[in-house]
Amino acid sequence: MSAAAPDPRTRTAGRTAAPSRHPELRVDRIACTGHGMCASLLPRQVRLDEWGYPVVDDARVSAADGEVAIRFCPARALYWA
Amino acid sequence: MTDILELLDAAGLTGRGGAAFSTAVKVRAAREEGAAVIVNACDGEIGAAKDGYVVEHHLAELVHGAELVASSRGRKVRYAAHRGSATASTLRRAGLDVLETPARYVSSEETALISLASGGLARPMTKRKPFVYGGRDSDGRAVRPTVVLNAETVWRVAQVATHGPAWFRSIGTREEPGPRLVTVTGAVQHPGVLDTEAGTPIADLLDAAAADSRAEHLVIGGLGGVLAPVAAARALAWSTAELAQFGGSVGPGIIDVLDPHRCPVAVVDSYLAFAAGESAGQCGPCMFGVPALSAAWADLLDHRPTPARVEIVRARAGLLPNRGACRFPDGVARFTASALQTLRPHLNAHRDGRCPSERTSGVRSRA
Repeated sequence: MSAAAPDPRTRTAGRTAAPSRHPELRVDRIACTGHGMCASLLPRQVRLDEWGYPVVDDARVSAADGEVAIRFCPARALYWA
Repeated sequence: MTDILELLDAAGLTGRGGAAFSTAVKVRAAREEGAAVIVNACDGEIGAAKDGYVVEHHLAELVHGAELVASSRGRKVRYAAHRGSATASTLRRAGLDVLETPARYVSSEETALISLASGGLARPMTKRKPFVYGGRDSDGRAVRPTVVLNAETVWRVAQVATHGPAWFRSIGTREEPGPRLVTVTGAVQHPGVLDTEAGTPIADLLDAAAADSRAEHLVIGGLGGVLAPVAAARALAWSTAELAQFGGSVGPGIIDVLDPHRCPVAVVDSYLAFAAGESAGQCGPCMFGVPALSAAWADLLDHRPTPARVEIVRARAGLLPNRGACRFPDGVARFTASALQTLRPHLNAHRDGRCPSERTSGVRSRA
């Protein structure tokens, strides 16, 4: 990775008061009951396994997209970490 | 007296339950949060016996170590052990507060013990942040700050306080300092717990237990560990750096020597069948994925283990990591991946219709 494009996950806090690390979207696996809403809302980052539970291929979701998924998860199983 | 936190920092003591996290960091957070302390003496991994060994032989030091960890603000210490076990009886006879856990695989997992101690069921909880800071379970129920330390770790805390960090660091390796227990079990004449150190040749551990010289395979670290060939393992030292060759680590310190007369594909089948019944049934990827993996492995045993069938096993195992509240499915996936790697020659023999382990009977059936 070039110096011009730092990995957002390891970015340190700067003058813009950016978070010390880009938060990742996580699934509370106990709360998740496999509604599949996250895969519909985040088709590029989340797919479903054969039982309908999410496989998160890329947890670096934009704040706006992540917030929508968190709000619409019927099981309230999504969170930032 | 120098503070125990400084001593633990200088000693470099890490957790002996398997995760090898810095004990100083954990105890510091526990002190700051006024966390309740649970000493885990469950020996929850397959083949484990060292927690019971510590309780049986070093109980006074164990209690001393627990007092050092929980030294102020009247924090209570509880000792977790499997219900009905000899370890639980010994702890109770000593007048200690025993947290009796069901003898299920995941019930001795860190967050399962915290759940049980908080009045919930002995099932893992989602760790949105470490429970040493307190938190909530997935139903929103508040959980007070609690820290879980393995029994051997707590015993080592007392030893560090008594003998000092220089003594501790004079044992083991630079990366993995200090004495450590290893349980050697299975096809050995003298099963039991060895008080040894990182860097010891694995051959010495096997010889000390008088392992069956015909044995071909070992399980290192139980169901959350790896299956390795004896010949290659004997040439290595007991250290995470060297065990990484098989995808393993010193973990919870268990070597299980497999019976040379039993087909290792069948042994793995029984491990995975056990695993399928041990999911707590909370997380979808585990409650469906582990039984599906077990069924896919059974197909390797019951039918010709074709590349397509092996691929199904690999794919099912590949869907387990990072998809549970606890690391049980991750461990099962690691174990399965190591078994596929180590048993490749054995599986190839099955494909040709013979089993190298069974002289009289052949492979169970044909497809």
